[in-house]
Amino acid sequence: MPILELKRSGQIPANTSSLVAWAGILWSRVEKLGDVIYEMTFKMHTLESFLSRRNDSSNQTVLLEYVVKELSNYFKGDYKTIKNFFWKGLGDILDTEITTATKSSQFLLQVLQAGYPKLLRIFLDLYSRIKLVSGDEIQLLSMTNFESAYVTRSFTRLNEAVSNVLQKGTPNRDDAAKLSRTVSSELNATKFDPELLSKISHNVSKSLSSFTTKVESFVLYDNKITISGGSLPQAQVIKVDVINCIYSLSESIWGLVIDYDGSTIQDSLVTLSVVPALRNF
Amino acid sequence: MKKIATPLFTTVISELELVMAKMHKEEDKPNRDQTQVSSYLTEYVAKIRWVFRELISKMYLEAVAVEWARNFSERVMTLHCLHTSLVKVTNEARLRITADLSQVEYVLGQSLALVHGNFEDLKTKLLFKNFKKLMVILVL
Repeated sequence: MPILELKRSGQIPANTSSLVAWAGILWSRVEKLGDVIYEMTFKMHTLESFLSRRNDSSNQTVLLEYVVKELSNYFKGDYKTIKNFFWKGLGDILDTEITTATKSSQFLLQVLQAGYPKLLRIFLDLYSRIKLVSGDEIQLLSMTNFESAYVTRSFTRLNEAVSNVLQKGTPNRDDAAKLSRTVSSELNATKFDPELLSKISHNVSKSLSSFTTKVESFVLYDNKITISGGSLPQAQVIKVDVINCIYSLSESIWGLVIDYDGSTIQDSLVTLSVVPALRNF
Repeated sequence: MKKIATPLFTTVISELELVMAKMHKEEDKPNRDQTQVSSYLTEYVAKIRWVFRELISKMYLEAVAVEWARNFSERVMTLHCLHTSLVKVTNEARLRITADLSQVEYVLGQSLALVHGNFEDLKTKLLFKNFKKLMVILVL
């Protein structure tokens, strides 16, 4: 039975709201899969330890050698240990099952792409548990496709947030707050993995650079201002709103840079001159 | 990103300087009340108040707004002194000029307080005080 196949039991109706329920079921099964793999790892490690200490009574050859030789002959591979065979086999099964399942189910593909940080976290957690048991550093599943899809979606979300702010007119402080909440949420989802965080913060950098470039179009650089007894002329009101927006946004982003102190986010957001550009008004 | 605020303040200062320049056309008639401020000053302080009320106080920039307010005030004080130094100081004029300086100092202090600034933090805080002393020395 394919590991990641979702079976519609008929207990949950097939409509839009049930997609959330199905996604929840999927994630709980993936987590359970991690637990199953961990248990199997423990058993495999115990077995290998036992076999490495037992010898053939006739010629004193270590039993582990026999087993590994038989596995290599039967499965046509060059395995040095049972672990090698185990990890290769498991990795192949997972790759095959996920590829088959995601090709046949668009829903499954979208859930795994959208929830890539969750998937990554489950497997990173599994790898660290396995390392504690067997001392091995492994990688069972290639998640490059899911990662690139997630990073692309994240960039789209950021750009949509920027477009939404700019579409309605001159941005103000409330718009800056909305934008910084979107940025914070994107970074927060990936902060447990430095590499993924670096990619997301690079996206954030590009989106904010695009925002600061587009916001310039709202400002009239004619520098005509008449100091009268009345209120500020509209062109100058726009300048004040833009200044307030940019300042508020730069303060929020600077706060994030400080919160993520020591991580790769600082390199992306600071050295790419986003924060200085935001402050250079 | 092009600077937005700097050109804005530069233009504002230029407009204030146009009003400041009217001090060179002030005439002191013999029966004039010498403690009264110059005729251009009403317009001048109104514009200073307007800048703080309509522009600086609407910029929610915390310490940055206070810094801009300070820079603006220091620039106004410096330019005012530069213009005043070109005015021919007569017995009739010195009290008027002193009253002008006091009034501008008062307005700047009030306006700075509006944006949580402090006149005592200005680098030019002693400028007007020393200039007023100069008024006395020059006449003597």
